[in-house]
Amino acid sequence: MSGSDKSYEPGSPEAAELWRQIEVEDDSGSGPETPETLLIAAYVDGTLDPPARDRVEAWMAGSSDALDLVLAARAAHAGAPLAAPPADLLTRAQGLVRPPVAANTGWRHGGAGWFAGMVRPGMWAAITAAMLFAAVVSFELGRETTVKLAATQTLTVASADDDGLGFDPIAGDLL
Amino acid sequence: MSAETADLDRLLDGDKPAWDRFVGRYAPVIFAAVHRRLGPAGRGGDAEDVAQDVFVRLCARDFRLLRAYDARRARITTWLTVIAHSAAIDHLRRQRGYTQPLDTVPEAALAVDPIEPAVRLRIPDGLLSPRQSLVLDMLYKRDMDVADAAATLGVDPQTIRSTHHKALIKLRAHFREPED
Repeated sequence: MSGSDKSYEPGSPEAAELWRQIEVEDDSGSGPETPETLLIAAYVDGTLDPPARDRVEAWMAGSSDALDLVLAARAAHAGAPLAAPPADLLTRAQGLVRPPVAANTGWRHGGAGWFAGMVRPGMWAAITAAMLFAAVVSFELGRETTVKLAATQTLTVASADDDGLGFDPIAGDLL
Repeated sequence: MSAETADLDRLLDGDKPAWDRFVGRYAPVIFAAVHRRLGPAGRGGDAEDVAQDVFVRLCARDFRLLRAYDARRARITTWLTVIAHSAAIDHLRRQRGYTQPLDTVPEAALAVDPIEPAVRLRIPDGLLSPRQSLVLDMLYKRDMDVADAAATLGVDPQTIRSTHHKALIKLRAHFREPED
């Protein structure tokens, strides 16, 4: 028994040949579902309990990309110094979040704060002025219409009197 | 609570300087992870854009992805590395779907190496545990040594040897190899 077992040392030709017989080139992604990112990170950091660890390893066994990801995450913590990223990346990434419009607007949370920061304060003053202007114009138009209507009624009364009807249409009595 | 965790809480409250510090602190980690995956694939020039995409994902929808991080379960650098690496893999997959006119491809790129036909035998589901399959994959497909495989799985080298031994015993029994 021990003699035959000895031939299956890691890297031995006999073991490699046995592996080649069962190697399946199936990377179609049809293996276990990808665990959530935090679970994978916890596996790399060695903080998972055995059942969760088995789940991650089942995923790794089903996809070469999965194993690549874990290998890369481990390599990242091997202590190698990191190259400085391009300055443009820092500028672009920091620009993704804008400061809030005002400290007391209450719009400080995430996307709402970002939107409030995008709106210029002067825009609200312009909107208010436009609404006031529209109200004044509407009032003036309404007043002009009323004056014209009154003038038309006066003209109608005067014309009726000139016809010599012999009676006062307002009083309603025969003269 | 560590200083980093406290700063993360301020960031999630919409503190702009906290976000700027976050970017300054972790951009090297994210960029390095992306470049490490894209560089060998000949797409190192895309690393900056992919890294920017990672930051977009982190702050999208009121920092939804960042809010999912739990400092009790993993280090933030590990978590960000996993996200960045996944983003790089997604980018490469999208690039594989890109097609270009055949006339624009150099002739040398069209050469195909001869592939020797291999007999592939499928093993029954459950014959090997996921860890046993992983160990064999690392040792024979990726040519990793025992120490590297042990470091990857977070176990000692003797565990790798033992797992390897048990896996091959199962395979031998499955293929019914004659005893020597």
